[in-house]
Amino acid sequence: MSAAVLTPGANTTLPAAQRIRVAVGWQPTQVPGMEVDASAFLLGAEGKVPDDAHFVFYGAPSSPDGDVRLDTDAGDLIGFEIKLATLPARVASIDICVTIHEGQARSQRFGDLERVFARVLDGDTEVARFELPTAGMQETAITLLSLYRRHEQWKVRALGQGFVDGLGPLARLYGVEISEEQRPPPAPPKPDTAPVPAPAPVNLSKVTLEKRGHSVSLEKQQDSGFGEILFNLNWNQHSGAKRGGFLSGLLGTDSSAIDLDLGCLWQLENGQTGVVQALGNAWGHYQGPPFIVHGGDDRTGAMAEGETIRINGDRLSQIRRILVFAFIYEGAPNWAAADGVATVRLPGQPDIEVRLDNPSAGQGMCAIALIENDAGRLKVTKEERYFRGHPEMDRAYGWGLRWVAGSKD
Amino acid sequence: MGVSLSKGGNVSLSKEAPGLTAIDVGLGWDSRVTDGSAFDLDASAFLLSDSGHVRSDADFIFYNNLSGADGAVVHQGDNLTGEGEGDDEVVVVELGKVPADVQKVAFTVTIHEAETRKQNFGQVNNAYIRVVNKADGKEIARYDLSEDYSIETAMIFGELYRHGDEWKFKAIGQGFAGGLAPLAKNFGVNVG
Repeated sequence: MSAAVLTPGANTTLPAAQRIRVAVGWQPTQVPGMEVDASAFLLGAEGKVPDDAHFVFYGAPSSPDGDVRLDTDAGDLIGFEIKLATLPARVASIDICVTIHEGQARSQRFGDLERVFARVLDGDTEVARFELPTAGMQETAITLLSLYRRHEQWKVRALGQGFVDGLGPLARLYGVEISEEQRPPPAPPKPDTAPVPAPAPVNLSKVTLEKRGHSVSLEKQQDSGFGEILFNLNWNQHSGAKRGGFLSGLLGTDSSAIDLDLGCLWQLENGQTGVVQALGNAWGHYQGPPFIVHGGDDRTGAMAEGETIRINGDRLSQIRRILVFAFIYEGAPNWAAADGVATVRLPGQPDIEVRLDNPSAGQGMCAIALIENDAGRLKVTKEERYFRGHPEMDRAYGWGLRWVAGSKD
Repeated sequence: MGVSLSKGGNVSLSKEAPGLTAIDVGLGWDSRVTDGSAFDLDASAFLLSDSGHVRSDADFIFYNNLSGADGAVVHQGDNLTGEGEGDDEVVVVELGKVPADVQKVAFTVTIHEAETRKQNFGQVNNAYIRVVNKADGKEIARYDLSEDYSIETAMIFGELYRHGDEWKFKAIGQGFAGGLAPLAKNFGVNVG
């Protein structure tokens, strides 16, 4: 049997295989600055995912039972391994999509490519192929294939339809709630309304440091430095409301919002050490030592951009190491309510995101990431280690500063 | 809930709904939810004689000729987007007023400008045709085309036809190459 060559709208029956592979690719295979991703949505009969775990993408490369797995190590292709035989009955179809990462922000669209294609493979045998010429397409997210059940068989339909605005509307079509890059301004707290626990949205940002201890190492550019390294901390402004109202009086807790602070310990090549943080008004300097500057205090989290620390990467030669941390200045050390997200932006690199969601009880301090001058290379390591406070963290990293209690104005 | 037909199946409307005098033939499909060119689907009805052809061009009921056979068959108007709940387009048939030399009425749906917009039925979801008793609003028969189409741009959804003294309805689900013009020519309409 030769492979069925599908045109948009056409369908064909798949062989009764235990498992198949779907390989997604595009041409040209490389466009400078463009990142193409593939994702799979496992859909119920209504065309929606049962829950967010049924959205398989770079941030979640396997479906709950492992029936659909993303394989990104297939050269120029992105592959999906799909165990048709063991897929639960509630999965009525699987839609295979391609998206351009931040396509809109970077003014990229599928029209910048010549074509995208998908191949369905049973073992090494190609059973179906769909090639979509993309000339003129403004879309940044396209559903290529839909695999679906029909009379106890699996079939595949070629689609080739999508969205100009990318993965966001595509995910919403399939019932996946996603977190936006730009969060809307916070709604005023409603103390008399019981908070409704919302499911955590799937995050579409690139997470390059998956686990604690992972690191990236960057070589210096030929004739320039590393540029500016930006740390940003943002958190949930609604946390105060969760403890407000009737229960706050009953439990006697403070109803004020959580105040999360971003700071860092620094150590220069000459051995000098110190701290940059809002507490004690240690704002730092960018052009001079310690080549780190704090962007200002955000007492409520209400500033859309949160708190930032900028590190002068061009002066890396004078820096030995920097430990960036976040701590809860006021209120119970309730990280779950704070819902903090730290983002590290390195020039020319995908953003690194660290979610501060994995603490032990009573620990209000979180070491986020360690930046080191590793023989001229810039090395960033995800830490995400929780401590009771500054002294404990200092000891753990052997910084050797002396700590006294302080407070903000 | 009426009789659910599959492709080729038929049902006697007269038996399912004794005393039936008029029907709404509802045709539906889901509008496009993705970006790109909108889908504009058009329902038409062809009043056909024994020969399988229209008696005259006036028997071609479509968006530019909404009423035929002295009001026996009336198209309720064009829906440009397929948006909204319920049937997208409806054709009302007064069974008693259908001329005796009309043997059957074919209901078709075509995709407007399918070729230039590169569209076909494989990209349309949940297409159906159903027959509703005008008197009480109850559905008598329904045919979900779901899988009975692929890359066609014109489809015959169903047929209403005489069988002795009865009116019957048959699920057709037959695709047709090209758009409304070749389909109309096939039924004997002189398309300019």
